[in-house]
Amino acid sequence: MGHSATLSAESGSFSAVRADRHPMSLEDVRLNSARALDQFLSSVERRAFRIASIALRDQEEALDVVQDAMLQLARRYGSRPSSEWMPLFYRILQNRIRDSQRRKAVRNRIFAWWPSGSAGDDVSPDDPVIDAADGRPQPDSVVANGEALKALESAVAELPARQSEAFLLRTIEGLDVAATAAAMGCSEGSVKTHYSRAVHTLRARLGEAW
Amino acid sequence: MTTADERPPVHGGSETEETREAAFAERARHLLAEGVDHLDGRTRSRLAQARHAALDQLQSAQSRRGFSMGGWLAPAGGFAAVVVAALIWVGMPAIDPVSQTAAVRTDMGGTAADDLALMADAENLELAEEIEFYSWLEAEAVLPAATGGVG
Repeated sequence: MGHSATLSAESGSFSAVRADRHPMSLEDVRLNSARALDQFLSSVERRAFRIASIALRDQEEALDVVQDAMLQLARRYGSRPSSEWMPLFYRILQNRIRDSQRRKAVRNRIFAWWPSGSAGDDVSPDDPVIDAADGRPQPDSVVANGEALKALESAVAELPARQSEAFLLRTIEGLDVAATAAAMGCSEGSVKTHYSRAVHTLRARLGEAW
Repeated sequence: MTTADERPPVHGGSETEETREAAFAERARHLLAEGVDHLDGRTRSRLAQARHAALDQLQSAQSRRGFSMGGWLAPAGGFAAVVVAALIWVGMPAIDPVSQTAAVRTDMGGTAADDLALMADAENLELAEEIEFYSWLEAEAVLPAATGGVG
């Protein structure tokens, strides 16, 4: 008997295999896929959150964006080989971040003329209320070089979007140029340019003393 | 093709400048990594919840995929039912001696077509299990239908 109904969980993907070569039940395949995805998400979730929170300057929104990216990866690409997950996940995450930034920009335009205090939580990212301690534990408060980190985050957030993406993906996630290009959906040359400009701009803004 | 906008900025090209850039990037990487390591418990918990939701999503997607894989099982099941029906039909070929064109009759007194209809209807399962009893009732003309009906 050549092929059978047994399935393989090779790299989290489904494929029919010969019955005499590593036959696995459907349940085994599902468990392996779930385990692989769990490991992948565990390995990237914190850095993904940091990237989102620096880009959006909003912890809650960053959490929402990361959760959306996780859900979409699982729903649409969970059956793809796990080696493809990294660029796919960060591509989704960057798209979500951009969508969130656009929505925020629109909200800010709409409420720009609104009487003070009527806009509820739709406040400017530079509003001191956002940066004020709200009683909940803040990640930045436990960072050893807190001031330097805050200055860096502010400077990164003011970069053009593509420069910010390239800088954060390469610096926080440690993606190489090719993987960053895949995640950003652009050429490797563009990644090098965006990253180089980002570093140049950040150094100029933060000063030599930073 | 590289556009003017994509061209890397010129920094003078000195090795010192490159070294400074590398040192800057390294310091930034170090600080940002600390930020990653020091996320508060609430954030870590929310991220774990998000991950578990994603795993649930994966299982749902796999279940749907399982149903679609079952797409070939449904026709296979139908084919098996046809085979069973054919076996029932062929397995009880008692030709009516009166008419060669008459329906095939089983030795229980009903036609094979009746048996197929019976087997196809789940509600008739109880009747099928008691078929010998009902056949006896009919033979003995105890049932009202056999005696001309009620009313």
